[in-house]
Amino acid sequence: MASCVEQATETTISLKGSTKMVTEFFYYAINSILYQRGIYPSESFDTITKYNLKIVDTCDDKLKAYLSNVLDTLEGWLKELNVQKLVLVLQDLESKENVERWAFDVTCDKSISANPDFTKPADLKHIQRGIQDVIRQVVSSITFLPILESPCSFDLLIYCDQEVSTPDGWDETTAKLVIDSEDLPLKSFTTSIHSVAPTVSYRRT
Amino acid sequence: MENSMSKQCDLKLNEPILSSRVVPRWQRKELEKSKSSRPNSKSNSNNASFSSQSNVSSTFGESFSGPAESRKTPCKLPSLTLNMPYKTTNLDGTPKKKLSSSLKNQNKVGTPKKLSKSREGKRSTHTTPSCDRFIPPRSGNNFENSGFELLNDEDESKDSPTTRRYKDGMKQNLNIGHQPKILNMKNKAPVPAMNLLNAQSKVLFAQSGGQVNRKASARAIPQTAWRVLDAPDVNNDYYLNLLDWSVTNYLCVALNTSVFLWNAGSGDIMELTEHSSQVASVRWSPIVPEIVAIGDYNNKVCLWNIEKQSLVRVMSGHTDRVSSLAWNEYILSSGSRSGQIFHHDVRVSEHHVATLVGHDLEVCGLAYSKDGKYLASGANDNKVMVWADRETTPLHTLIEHSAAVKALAWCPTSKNLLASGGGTQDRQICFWNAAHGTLQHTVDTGSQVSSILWSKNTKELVTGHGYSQNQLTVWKYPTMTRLAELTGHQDRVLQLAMSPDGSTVVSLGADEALRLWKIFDCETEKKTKRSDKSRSTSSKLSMNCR
Repeated sequence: MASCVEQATETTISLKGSTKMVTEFFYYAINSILYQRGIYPSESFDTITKYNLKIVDTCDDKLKAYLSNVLDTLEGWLKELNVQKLVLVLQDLESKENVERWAFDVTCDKSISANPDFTKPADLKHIQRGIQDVIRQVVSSITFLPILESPCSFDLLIYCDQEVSTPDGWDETTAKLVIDSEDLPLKSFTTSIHSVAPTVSYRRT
Repeated sequence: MENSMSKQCDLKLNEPILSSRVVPRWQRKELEKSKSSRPNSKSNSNNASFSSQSNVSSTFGESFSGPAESRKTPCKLPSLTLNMPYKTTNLDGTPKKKLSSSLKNQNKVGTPKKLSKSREGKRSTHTTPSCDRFIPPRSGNNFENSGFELLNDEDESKDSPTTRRYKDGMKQNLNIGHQPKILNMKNKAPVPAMNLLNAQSKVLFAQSGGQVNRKASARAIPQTAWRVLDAPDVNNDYYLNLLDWSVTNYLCVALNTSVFLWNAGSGDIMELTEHSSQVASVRWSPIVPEIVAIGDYNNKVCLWNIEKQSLVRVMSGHTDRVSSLAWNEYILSSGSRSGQIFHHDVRVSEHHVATLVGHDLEVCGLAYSKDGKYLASGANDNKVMVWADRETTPLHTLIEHSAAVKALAWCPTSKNLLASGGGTQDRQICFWNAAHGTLQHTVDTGSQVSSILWSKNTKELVTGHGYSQNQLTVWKYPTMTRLAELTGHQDRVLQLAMSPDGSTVVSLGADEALRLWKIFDCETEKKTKRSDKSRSTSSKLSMNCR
């Protein structure tokens, strides 16, 4: 019985697994932010259970397609350890001002080889708990973030190393910073290959 | 000139100074000696002075018999002697080695380059204090570099996030440093509707709407029937649906072949029709309140207009008695003993629009969800089936009951929550999520469940039961605690119906009586609306704030 339990808890993580985990985290984190900040109507989200949490998942096909498009590309770069940051910018639809910016700093362990089957010791439970905490904090951030007075759209930016070639359908862009902002670093987590540290910056009111 | 002066001083002052300041002088002498032997460390000077104090006698003799140059006193030439140590350090960068070598020179009475012999002699007695000082070697230090390092502290981790971001921005604007590439997709995410204002996020905190329930559970439920009506010749058959209450406050009850109407407002009783056969089911149309559908033993469904007291339409097609009916706007669904369910569109001449095949035995329970999205059917084959709108194959087949399922009720407040009650062999109430087809929980009631009604305003439900108590039970959902047991019927309860205001429940008993119970709070229309509103917002909030 005891041996069964020991076998069940994995002690290593592969680069592929870590990438998948981080990409999935981004998907749900983005969904949660879009839902919590009311970017899309709440009816267009389904509630599901993930990471032992009640989490929202969009049922808007267009949005789903967009997210999977971006995240698929991101996944490739994560696998090559080239990503530095994923940023979600909220922009006022009328004034075109950037009102809020969620930056997920990604630190890749460059010491490892970019072989997808590379494994590293890791405590999966610990990672899971880390992700859970971050999502919880993202969800609870609604209580202190300023109310968005007008409808907003969102955009996703990916910071990667210079040597990455720009794929088709992608453009180089500016950082889209929030002017005169307050910054708040949130909890971070690490898969021991990738670590993710979110920061939210919002307009000072 | 200076030389002669110093010599004079020596001659005159030698002896008196010796006598008056004996201790400092021999101490210094001793010090000097020890240095000449071991000249190159700072700690030596201290050690030497201590040791010299300990062996006074031995050093004493020596000091007196020492060489002439050592006897020269420093007192008269303080300026010179004071300058000395600084001078040496200033002149040459490495003072330690030079010092030691100069000390050696002094003992050997050799002269350093820039100093005269006579000065050197005087100095030798006075260089001693300089030996207390530690002047570290600086040859290995790169002061320029360290100064630069100190001033240009580029530890970015100490910067505030704002500063860091400002720096990043500046670097990027100036196009310097190892900058990341910022990429985004050309085709953007779908733009949300302009008119969408996240109204729900404007309310950050709200108390959950639990108060209504707490209040409700504390209320007293009358234990006796408020009113009893006679229902002679009622067909004591579990599978029939003989009772319904319209939105215009008419109670319709089928007694054998007759259909009676009771105006609950005025108390008038009217016989609608003497039917050609026994009546198996009655159901009011929800959108045209004067129309009542009647299913009979002759396999027909009839529509009656009660205003004109006329038969509007006869719809046939079933192969056995029509024991259950349900309306969804203009679609009337009828369940038959054959196990088939028909959809009739009452507006068109070809009324029969769909046949749902799934049940093997008599369909005795039919209910549409509040939004008309799902139809739930219960049958004598112990199955509950959930049909999506207009689909002819079941969305879910729910197998949990072990007896016929007649009692079906959709929760008016929670979407997709379906309660179903089983017959004599089963005796349990099951709660289902109809969208997923999952069983949420079950409660054993102890007796046959013939009917279930949800309260319109509170999370409560009332069930009608058969043997042995023949009672009505009021339950609190979701804890399923019994709030009240209402007994009075002498035989099993066949059917329940609720008044349009939601306050009164009528039960048709096999003991040929209709009993009216005031179970729920009689709330005014206004109050109901308000509580509905608050509930809807609170449910949104609970989604929102989690």
